[in-house]
Amino acid sequence: MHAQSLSVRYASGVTALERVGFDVPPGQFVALVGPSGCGKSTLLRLVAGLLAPTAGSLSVDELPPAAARRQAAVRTSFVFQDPTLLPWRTVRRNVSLPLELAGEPVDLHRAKVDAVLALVGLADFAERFPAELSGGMRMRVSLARALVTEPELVLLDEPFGALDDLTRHALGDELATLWGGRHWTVLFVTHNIAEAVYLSQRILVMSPRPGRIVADLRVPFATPRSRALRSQAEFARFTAEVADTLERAGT
Amino acid sequence: MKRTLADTAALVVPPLVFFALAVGLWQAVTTIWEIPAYLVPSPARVWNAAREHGAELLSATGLTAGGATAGFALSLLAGTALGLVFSQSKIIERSMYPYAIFLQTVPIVAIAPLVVMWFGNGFGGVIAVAFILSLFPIITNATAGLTSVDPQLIELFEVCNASRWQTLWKLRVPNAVPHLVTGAKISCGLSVIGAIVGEISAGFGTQSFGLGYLITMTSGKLDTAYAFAAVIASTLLSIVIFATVTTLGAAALGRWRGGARRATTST
Repeated sequence: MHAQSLSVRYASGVTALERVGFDVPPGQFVALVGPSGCGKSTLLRLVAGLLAPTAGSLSVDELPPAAARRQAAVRTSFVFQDPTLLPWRTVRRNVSLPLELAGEPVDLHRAKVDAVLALVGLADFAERFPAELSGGMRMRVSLARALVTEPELVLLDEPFGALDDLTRHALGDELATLWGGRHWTVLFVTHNIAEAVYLSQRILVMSPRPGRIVADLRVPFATPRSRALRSQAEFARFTAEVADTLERAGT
Repeated sequence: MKRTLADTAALVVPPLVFFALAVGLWQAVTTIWEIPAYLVPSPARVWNAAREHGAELLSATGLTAGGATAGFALSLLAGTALGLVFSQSKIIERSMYPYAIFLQTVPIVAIAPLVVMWFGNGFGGVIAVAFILSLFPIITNATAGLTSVDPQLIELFEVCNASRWQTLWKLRVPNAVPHLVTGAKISCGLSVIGAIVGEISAGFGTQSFGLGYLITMTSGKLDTAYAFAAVIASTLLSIVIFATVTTLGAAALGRWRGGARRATTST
């Protein structure tokens, strides 16, 4: 993934992003942190091809993002801040939605859905409706739906933002484990610095609006990581360092 | 959630008690003040009139029910179709919506004779008036349901490379169902009113007639007890149609479960 001096200006005159550039090699887990309203989500939507930049260029696997996605050159999944499940479909039919939309034969769905539901620990809930699940479980369904297509690029827009700390940590661990097994390329938007440090290999720090990338930090901890890392001094020190950078960017 | 006998009783008993009290009061007032029967007939007289003309009343109710149901069914089809068109094109919606409001604001009593003239002095005219009156809530609710989709869900479908048709059938249409049920509940009552208004303009001089004709004819002859019976029959008809639509709607929404609690628009 290659981005060069990306800018986005909305019709309202608001500049969401200003000359943003970065490269992401395949398989890397990158976190985007920044104050709210700095354009992190906008950047993610650019990469998903949901939005076109006002200026600059962005390519995913040497194609414009929308084309890369449509030609299925790069299987892309997006996880939103809300679980965004269809309330009239069961968990199973929610998870199989991307397969259905891609026109995959229905008889292939069942095995894939079962496998991915097992991955997120919801094997017993396939026939339930979203309204019957807790917030954390719904987010797991959302994650399962993103993974069912065996994506190469996973974009997550503050996916755990609305969850309590305990669920947030549990889901973070699950995401880390899943990534450890597959090594998709991940862009993970969050405003939780500790979460960014714990999950990612690299952190892009953004300034307040108009968003620019003010720091590109390598996370100095080897993967896979264990829960013990969260309570280590180096973890706290590095997290503080990222927080400092973020704070300096804001002034 | 199984409804127990006690729940059902709690639902049914209070209105029945109220009904008995109201009828008792009505009977008492007419007897004590000796109100002339052509002004306000006593419940007993209304009951007798209903029994005396039972067959006629029943066939009239059946005919009105037919007109209302046909008009309602047509408005459900046409309203949903128009909603689909509106949801797909902002320009069409903007250019046609003001005229849809016409359906809501037109004094139906004033144009009913015209409509009856155009669509025939009989069942056709009755259906047309019922259709016109019940169309608007379906159009607005269908359009609202088809367009008020969570923007993130639209993005989800886009990321999944969904076609316009897939987004319509798998996202917009199911999203519209709770709204459509709301619209149908409003419309079905209006369709009965429309059928009766249509009959008042249409049914004269025909062999078979509906409640609208019966009401005008009996009140014209100062047979007020029979007119009351016809009015009560039309109210009961409305209640039956509304209950049927509500039950069918609840069945259709069964799959939505908690999702059905989302706000729906009404007019």
